[in-house]
Amino acid sequence: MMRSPSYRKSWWLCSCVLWLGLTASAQQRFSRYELPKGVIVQHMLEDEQGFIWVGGQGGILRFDGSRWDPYVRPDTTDVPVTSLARCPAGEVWIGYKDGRLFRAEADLDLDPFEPEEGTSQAPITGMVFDSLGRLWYATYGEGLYVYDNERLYNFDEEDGLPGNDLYALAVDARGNVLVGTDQGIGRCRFEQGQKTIDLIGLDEGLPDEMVTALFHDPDDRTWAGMYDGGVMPLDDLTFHATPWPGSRVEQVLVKGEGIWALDEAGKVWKRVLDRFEAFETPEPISAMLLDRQGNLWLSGQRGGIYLTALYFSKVAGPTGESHSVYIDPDQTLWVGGQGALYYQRHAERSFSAIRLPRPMRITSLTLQGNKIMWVGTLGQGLWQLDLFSQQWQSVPLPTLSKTVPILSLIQQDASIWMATFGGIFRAQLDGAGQLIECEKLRQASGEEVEYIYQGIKDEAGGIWFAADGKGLVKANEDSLWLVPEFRNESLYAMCAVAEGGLYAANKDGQLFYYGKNRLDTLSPALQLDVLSLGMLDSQRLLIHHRSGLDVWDMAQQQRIPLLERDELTMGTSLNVLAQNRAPHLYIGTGEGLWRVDRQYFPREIPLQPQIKQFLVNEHTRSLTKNQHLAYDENYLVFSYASLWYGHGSVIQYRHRLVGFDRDWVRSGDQQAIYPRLNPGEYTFEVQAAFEGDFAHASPYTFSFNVRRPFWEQWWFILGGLAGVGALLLYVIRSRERRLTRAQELEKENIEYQFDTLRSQINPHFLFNSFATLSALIEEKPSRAVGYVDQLSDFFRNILSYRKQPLISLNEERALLDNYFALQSQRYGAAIALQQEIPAKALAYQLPPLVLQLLVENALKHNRFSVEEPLTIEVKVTEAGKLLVRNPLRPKSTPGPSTGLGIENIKHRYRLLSEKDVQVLQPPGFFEVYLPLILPAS
Amino acid sequence: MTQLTFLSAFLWVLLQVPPIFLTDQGQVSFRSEAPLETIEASSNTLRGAVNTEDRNFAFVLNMNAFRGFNDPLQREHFCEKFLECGKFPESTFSGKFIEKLDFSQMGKREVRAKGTFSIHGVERERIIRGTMDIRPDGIRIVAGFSVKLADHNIKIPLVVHQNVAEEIQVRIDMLLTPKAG
Repeated sequence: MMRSPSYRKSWWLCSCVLWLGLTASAQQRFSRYELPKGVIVQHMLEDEQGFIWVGGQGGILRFDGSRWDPYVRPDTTDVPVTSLARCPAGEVWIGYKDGRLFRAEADLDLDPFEPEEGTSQAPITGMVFDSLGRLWYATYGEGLYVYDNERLYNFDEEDGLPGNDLYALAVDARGNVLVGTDQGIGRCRFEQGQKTIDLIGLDEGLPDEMVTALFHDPDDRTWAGMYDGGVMPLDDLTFHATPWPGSRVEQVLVKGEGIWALDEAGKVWKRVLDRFEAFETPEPISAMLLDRQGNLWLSGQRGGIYLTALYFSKVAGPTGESHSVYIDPDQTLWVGGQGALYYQRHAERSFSAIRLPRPMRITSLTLQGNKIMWVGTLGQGLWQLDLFSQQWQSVPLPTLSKTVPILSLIQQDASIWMATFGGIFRAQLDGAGQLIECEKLRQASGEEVEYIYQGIKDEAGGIWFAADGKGLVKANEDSLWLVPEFRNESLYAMCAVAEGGLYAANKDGQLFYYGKNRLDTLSPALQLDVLSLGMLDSQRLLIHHRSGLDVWDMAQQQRIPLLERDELTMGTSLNVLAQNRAPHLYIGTGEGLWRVDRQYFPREIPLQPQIKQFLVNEHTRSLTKNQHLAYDENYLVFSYASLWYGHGSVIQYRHRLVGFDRDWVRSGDQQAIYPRLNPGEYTFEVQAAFEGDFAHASPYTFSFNVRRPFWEQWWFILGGLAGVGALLLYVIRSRERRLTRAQELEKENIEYQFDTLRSQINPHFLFNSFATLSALIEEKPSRAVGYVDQLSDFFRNILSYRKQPLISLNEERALLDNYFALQSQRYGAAIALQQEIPAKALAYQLPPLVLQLLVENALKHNRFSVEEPLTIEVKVTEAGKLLVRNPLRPKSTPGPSTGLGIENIKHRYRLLSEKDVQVLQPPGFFEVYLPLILPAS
Repeated sequence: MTQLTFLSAFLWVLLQVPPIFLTDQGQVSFRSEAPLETIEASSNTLRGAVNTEDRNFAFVLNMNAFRGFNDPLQREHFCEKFLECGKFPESTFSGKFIEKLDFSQMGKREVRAKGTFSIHGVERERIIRGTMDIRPDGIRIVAGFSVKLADHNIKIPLVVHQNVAEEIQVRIDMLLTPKAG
């Protein structure tokens, strides 16, 4: 429907009759944090991880939402912090009043900046890092310094800087470094050792040349704050038309459309529309900070730290409970409040109020055309307000009782749809906006649908209703159609989405999306009494419920409370949320109108906890991946925090050490202590969630291992075993080798001796034999021939046995017989050999020629004659020894002797056997016991 | 009262030290620590002037005056090949002290001299930190700093790369005395 602009303007002017002069500035809710005693903050900074740093008189502290961790300068403690900056690598740099700069380390230590060129003696009034990673710092007294990570350079008055006393520092979008001085802004560049400085002063359009604050905003605009020229962006010198109500500007903050300035008196000014208005603060302010979570931090001159979420504020104006909120197609905001209908035109700073004709609760509003506001009430029926004449008129409805609440009104072409407890009605209007008829719609079957909580018009113009027990109802031309998927649901609230779909909440707080004839269930039953729904962005729904305000994050499947439970009286009215394309959502509560500002709402809720500190045996350790701890590094402390400052107190934590804890441990102090960990693999996990809903919480995990002590390491054990094994092997081997060598040596020795001894037999025996032979040839030459035959036999045997170490007793006996036969030739009956050798002993062995030798000896050393023959006994004793015995009749003149004999035998036996040859001399006898050696196999 | 003020002002002027302090025998030594060789040389012909009123200073050094080195050939190379002493016989450093120095206060203090440092004909802006000792007999300045050869376009042949450091350590020590008259 076309509207005439002039006409619209005219009603607007008329309506000013009841202008209440309410300011539109928002009232922020502040949370206050207590700083440790003695700290007065002058500077604040949010670091890469989201920690808040505050510095000033009394030092520098890092804040995680609940705890303040102090960083202590190693050399002195009483120098105030005058500047804070975040370097590209994420570290925080701290500038002090005495000109020193320090870098904050993870372990709460401060590391001094000490270039070869020396440090400044003048207070550091600003620090920035440019896109090349160079550190620039401004001083009050020595001008500007730049450090290119190699050398330090100075810019001062002699170089063309407007002054040496710098108040402020900023880098602009083009990489120029700007400094604020008493004589304007110096715009500096430093390229290839060349300094370029130009001036922005009064000639360039600066309203005041004393520039006390500079700020580079996220949209790449640079802002200057001045001594008495207020605040202006450097790229728009017409901006200074904005009157400045404050004193000397100390700090400027800009984000989106929000512009805040802090003045010397500690007042914060916020630009609203085209002028600066006082931003109410609990105490005079010394510094401001805008964090990435949409919070404004303020440090109080008296020591408090205040936090306010910029995305949620109370709208000054409508008082008492608001039962309906409506934004018309012209973006005018309408609020049905206590005793009046309030409205605020788009881009207007204040609300106006139109007094109600009688006390009534406005529950629904819709503008028809540009002149008539239709007003639905609770128990007072339907009203019409002529915006031009400000006349109220009750509209009687023949088909609907006045007592039935009208919860929604939807204007569509020449019709007004009404969602009431009595059903769905459509009123047809004439061209002048007068009601022609009002009909109740039914299903095609004729069935009625009653208890309608809300009606909305989707982007495509479709009309939808949320019904008790009947779910989602679509209004067709002349009948109602129930979305089959929702049948039996009780839907309480809906909101339309740009794509033509809609979101809906049922009585259990379960959320749905319906679009393109498809139903998606978005959440479990959240057990919330949902009053209204709104869209924050494509991924997040705002849930206005009876005990608070929550956000449903569809991507994270998580509910984020924006308020503590029952912190704010929400009232009981359904559908008191209005949204438009502007960044604001308005919500009527039991305590007036509140606004959610989408532009400040953080894109991401940093719920995942961060490890603040990891202590190993009471020393800070950095959290490098796959950390290996020594066996005695087993006293571990993890401090963690989820850096969500909005409503930190509703965050709950649980942690576990996989490998140690069997289950999750709920922790109140955000700390996990493991005093004595056994060696092993561990993973520390910590989760944070709102109201204990950990189901979708993504954990922070950190894996490490505690090594076994080296003596329990597999490699050590293995090495040890191998070492012992090797040692054993070596011992065995060397012993074996030694033994082998000894044996070899012995064997060699034996063989040598044996050979020697054996070789001695021959001449010895030969000597005797030849003696015999010579005697025989002399005495009985005829028998000498036989003797030589026997001798040759004997020698043949000897030759065949001589190489053997042992021969059998049998062979030895044959040899002995042979020998004895030879001797008998010589001595006849004067000698006799008596043998008692059992057959079984014949296989036993003895060194060759032993018996022969003994017998030979007996013959050699004893007297014998035919009268007194010498009987030599050879027998096997019961003890298994071979006994050679002869009567002892020593010759008076001993025969020729080689001196061998018994000793020879004893030697040979000693080498061959462990058993000794025994020589006994019982009275009148000479006995030699020879051990018999068992054959080898 | 007026007389007293005048008298004290007069006395103050009388007690003033002359604003210019000079030396022509300041000591300069340098040290090049390279992997293969350490080269040291020194000179005591550094000329300098400090104006105690406006904190300006100027120092000049004759590059031919360095003695030391490991052998005479090295000295020749140093002077002729690297520093081209024939072409650029002098190095200079002139500028102003950053600190607002009170020259009437005896004793040691740390100072930073910001100025233009020229060697081998290439000028660089430098801040050099040192210690200034204000004594009855004059001003003693001791300082140490480094000079990157590349910064001053001093080229070292590849052959002696291992013998000459890329960064030379320089130390100066001088006593400046009030300008006569």
